[in-house]
Amino acid sequence: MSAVDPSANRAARRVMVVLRDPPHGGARARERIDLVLMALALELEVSIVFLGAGVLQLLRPDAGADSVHDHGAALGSLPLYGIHGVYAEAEALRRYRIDPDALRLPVTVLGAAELGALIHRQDRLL
Amino acid sequence: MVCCPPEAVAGARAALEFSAAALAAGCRIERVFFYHQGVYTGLETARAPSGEFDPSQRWRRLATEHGLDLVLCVGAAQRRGVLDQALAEEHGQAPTLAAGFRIAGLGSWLDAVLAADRVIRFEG
Repeated sequence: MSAVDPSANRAARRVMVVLRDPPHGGARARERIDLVLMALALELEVSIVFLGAGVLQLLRPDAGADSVHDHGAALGSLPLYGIHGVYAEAEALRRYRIDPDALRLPVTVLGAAELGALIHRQDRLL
Repeated sequence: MVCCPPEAVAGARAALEFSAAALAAGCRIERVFFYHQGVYTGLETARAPSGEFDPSQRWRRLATEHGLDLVLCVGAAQRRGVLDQALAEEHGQAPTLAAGFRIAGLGSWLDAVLAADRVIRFEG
């Protein structure tokens, strides 16, 4: 397995990982969080954005719910690893009737235009 | 990034032909990363029926001609029984990785993403 050098001098440093998978749809949502952790390990400037059904990951799980796919612990740890920004799509939160003040992670809620501008400032969108 | 299994002919063919066209146009391909069901492309024991489109063989040929780096995601590969020598030894099984492919972590994909100008993803 090839090791990836965190200290390598890279032109692309600012990356944003798009999280659009619902939390209960298998391993995809969890795999995306692994990618976020990997990017953080490479000491990149990493932001994440929850789009569409991905905002469901921000809900606190019901007590007693099946925890097999609950990756809340990994999500909750992201601020500790120095994640640069955590964003969520305002329209998606509205659509799923999610209260932005009741999320498991502090997020900045952005409208479509602001999100577009933010995405435009990234070196890479993953 | 190739996420479609080899038998999903439309996706597998699109990935191959796009790559061949990009190379012909003078582009450099940093890495071909097989993810999710795409890792079946590197399964040695899988055989396309004779006369049918065989992505594994086609990738190998393209890689030989252009020095491509064909990489299977380690997590996705293990989950689907595609093992290189090291993984096979670890699990006490015979290796099943086709010649011309290698297995590495998602970090090697990320590394290629950062080095490349464009990332093209092929879904099944």
